[in-house]
Amino acid sequence: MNIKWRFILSKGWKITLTGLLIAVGIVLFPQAQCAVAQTCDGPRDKWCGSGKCCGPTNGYSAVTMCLRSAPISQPGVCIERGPGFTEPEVSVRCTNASDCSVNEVLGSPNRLSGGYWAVGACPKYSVKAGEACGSPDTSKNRVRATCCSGSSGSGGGCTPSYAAPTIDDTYTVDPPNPVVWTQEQPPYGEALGMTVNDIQAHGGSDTACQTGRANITSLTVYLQLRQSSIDWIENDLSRRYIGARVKDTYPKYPEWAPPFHKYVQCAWTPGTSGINTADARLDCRFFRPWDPGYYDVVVTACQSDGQCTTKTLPEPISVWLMETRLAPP
Amino acid sequence: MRKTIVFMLFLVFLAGCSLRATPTPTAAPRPTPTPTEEMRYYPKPDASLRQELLYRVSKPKQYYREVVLPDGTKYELFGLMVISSGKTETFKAGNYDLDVVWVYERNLDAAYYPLVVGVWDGETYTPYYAGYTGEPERQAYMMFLEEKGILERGRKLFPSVVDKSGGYVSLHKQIEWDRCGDSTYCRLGKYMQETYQMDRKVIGQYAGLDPIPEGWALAWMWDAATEENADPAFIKVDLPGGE
Repeated sequence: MNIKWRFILSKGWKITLTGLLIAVGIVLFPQAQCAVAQTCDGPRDKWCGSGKCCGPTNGYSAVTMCLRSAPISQPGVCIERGPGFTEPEVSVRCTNASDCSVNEVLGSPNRLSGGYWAVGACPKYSVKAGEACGSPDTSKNRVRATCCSGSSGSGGGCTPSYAAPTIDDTYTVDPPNPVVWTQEQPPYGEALGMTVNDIQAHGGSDTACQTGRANITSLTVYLQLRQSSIDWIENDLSRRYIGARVKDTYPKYPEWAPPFHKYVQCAWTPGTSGINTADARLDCRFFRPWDPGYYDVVVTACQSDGQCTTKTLPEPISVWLMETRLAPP
Repeated sequence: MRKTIVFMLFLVFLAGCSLRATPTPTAAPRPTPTPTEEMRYYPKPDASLRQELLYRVSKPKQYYREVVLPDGTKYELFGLMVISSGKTETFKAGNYDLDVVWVYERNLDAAYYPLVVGVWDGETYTPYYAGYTGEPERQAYMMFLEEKGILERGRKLFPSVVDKSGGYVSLHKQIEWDRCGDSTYCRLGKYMQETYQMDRKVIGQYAGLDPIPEGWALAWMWDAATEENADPAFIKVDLPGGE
């Protein structure tokens, strides 16, 4: 066979350039590499969704301990340690023929459950003097466990869908039988008012992917004097005491207690605890009830996916009128 | 064809960007320790234990980390894991009396050296265990460690140097003990670095590949894996042997 060396040599640089371009293309675009290798058209790849192949994963991180950065007599930070932080990740494999979910864990710890990997987290990020970091919460930071595109990302086409937040029916009021503002008797002094406490809300569950519950992002309360009480003041009471009327405006939102008042500490606290976790609570919201009657307690809770629930709690607050204190008509 | 040539020139230009020469370091060469008598070194871990460490403990990732708190505060740290041999000792380093525990470190190889447990500087005692809750008094501290079994053979200990970003710890400048402060901890850290220049070797994970000079001890604060802060399966390494 007669090889035309002169032709090949004259075109050699073109061939080299073309080869170089193809190599650059393959290196820059893993999807192209995937296609060239014909490994991205099986059911496992399709399970991952568009633009992703089912390949090897780098493994997963796991918080196995929470270390204090400074002596306990000083403030410090809590440092997460475990595979993936300063040691290699926990190796996993995806060997199912029809999907690309992780089905085998090759190292330790095994945090795979229901198709999700729980990385875990320290209970605190920074600690005051005298505070310990605590042990890791091994249920937090759940991620979808797949080998899609070799990432630990959210392959598998499962998008979390949360139920709406729920609010408990129960709460407490302090004092248990509040009276109209300025009518209180000793030992409370002239004006006591009341605080609403122990209102609890819970993030909705992920019904699509079972990743747990959404976090509560806000929890608020207001009071609404019932229409039956407004009617009673304007009709019955005003007949017995000329000029009796509804004094306040509604809805009525929490107020600040006056200085030196029994409930003044409520002004210094946010009232909420557990915000940005799945269970939140509201306490110490102060009100001055100017009108006697039944007050509906209306609570609104919002969660991390933006859904909110507003609920009127079944039991209203009864604010009493001490008629012996009123001047005779 | 002209377009192809232009495109290839563009690729060559891009490649050139990433291949730019790195600046030549201009810092003055560090003086190496010049002891008047012959330099002595710590023994290496024995061959079987070295094999065991290399087999049981995986090669660590880099020791440098950044930690960003939810409020945005950034910390920089070097942190490593060592394993207690259970052997404790007291020796003198300059003006300091050191209580140490001998530890194994799985780095690029396997090293064996002392970790500072506490320091007497002639006036005060400084405990190095971050989880110690008592008074800074040597006897009480030692009893605490004994009762809790903190130094027992096989327990994982975690020395680290941590500071807010912009402080004395950084990836580039490593540990600037001069900027650390005037505590015993800072002064001892500075003394160890000036005398033995081991920081770079520890951070680079090759302490032990080069021999470790006698007299040096790792003088970083440390925490220990305990039932209070760790998954129970990760508190200890089952080391063979022991004294």
